[in-house]
Amino acid sequence: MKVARVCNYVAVLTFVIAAVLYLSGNNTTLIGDVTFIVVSAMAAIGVFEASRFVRLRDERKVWTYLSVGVFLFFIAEVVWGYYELILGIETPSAAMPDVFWLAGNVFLVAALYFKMQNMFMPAKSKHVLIATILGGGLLLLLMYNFVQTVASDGLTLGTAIDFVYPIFSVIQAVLSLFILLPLLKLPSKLSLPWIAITTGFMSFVVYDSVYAITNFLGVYSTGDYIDLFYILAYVLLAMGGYFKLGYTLNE
Amino acid sequence: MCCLQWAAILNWDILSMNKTTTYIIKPEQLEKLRTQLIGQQKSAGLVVCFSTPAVKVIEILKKNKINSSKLVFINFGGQGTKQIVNVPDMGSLTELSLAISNVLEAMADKKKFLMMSGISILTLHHEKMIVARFLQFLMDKLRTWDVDGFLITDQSIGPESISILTQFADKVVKK
Repeated sequence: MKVARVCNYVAVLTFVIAAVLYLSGNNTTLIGDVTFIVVSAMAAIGVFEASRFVRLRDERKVWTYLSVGVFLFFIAEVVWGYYELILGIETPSAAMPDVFWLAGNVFLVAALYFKMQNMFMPAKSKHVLIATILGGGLLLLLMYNFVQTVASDGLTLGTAIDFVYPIFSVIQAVLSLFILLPLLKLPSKLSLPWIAITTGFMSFVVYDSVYAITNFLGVYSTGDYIDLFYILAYVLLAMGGYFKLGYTLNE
Repeated sequence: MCCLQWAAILNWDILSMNKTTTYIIKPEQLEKLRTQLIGQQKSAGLVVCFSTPAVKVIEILKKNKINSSKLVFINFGGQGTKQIVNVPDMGSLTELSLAISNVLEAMADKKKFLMMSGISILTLHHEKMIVARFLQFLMDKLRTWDVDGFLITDQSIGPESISILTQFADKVVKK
């Protein structure tokens, strides 16, 4: 509990400091890279700490996948930071961090899928409609970008990988939405961990969608304001771990 | 050292002792049976109150000098407290399934039970087949969670649900 609390506070504090520094317009590449590493570390530790105390077996599986996924993201951030800060080069599109990010995404999608399996879900037309509009709209937008890029530059590994991320994000967004909507109707204390986690995934989606567009237009670099959504996503994951440990009945 | 002792040390599932019991009773027997069953439990538990408000169930337990401090109740509508978790309505089984797993997950005690009394009321809000599927989902989860289950209903729940409740339960009591 203590570890998760510290991770939560450090993550929130880092986000606030990063937001102030981003707005002041200093060396945002350095600030961005360091912040990504710090908040992803806090998220990885927070979620791992929470996963150690999960009581129900199927829920434990979800948290285990979640913690592996976030840990792989943390490794990717460290390698990305190494390229940009130590080697002083811009990380190419298909590089070592992508291996960790892609593997991490597989674990995170699996975690959300298993979480959904833990809920009784007779198909609700309202939820299906929202998910279809959101998922379909995002996919159309990303498909357009992909076709445009391939038409102008040809199909490269980098282009393909840049396209895979948003697809993962769309899947995560749709799964998150299915989990989030019923949770919002329940008492907040019991639902907070997954409200924070799914909102974190939504934040990743916002970032990935804007990143895909700005990258396509060739105007993205580490240090853009949209990075704040990315940082916020990690903060929310760290919060999820903290909330998970913060509410116990009959103790 | 025999296999069972090793299994106990390693906390393997073959020693899992959780049991699901289905009670098919007359509606007028519900209150008495629920009070009696809760009184027999020593572990912490979650009681889902379909037919009676949780506040009233707590009152009845108090009258019968049964300690309810280790119990958490799921109530539909009304106000939630630390002991009473409020689910907005019986119309959403997704929210109910989430509330049940959230509460059981949040309970610190290792040994716990889930009691659902007056399940047949769900058929007023859902098709009988959906209720049957929900019960099957829940009974499956009870095994996974290693939680004791007490499912109390009357015959009006329908043949599909009765079939699932009797097939999946470790013990069936008909009164």
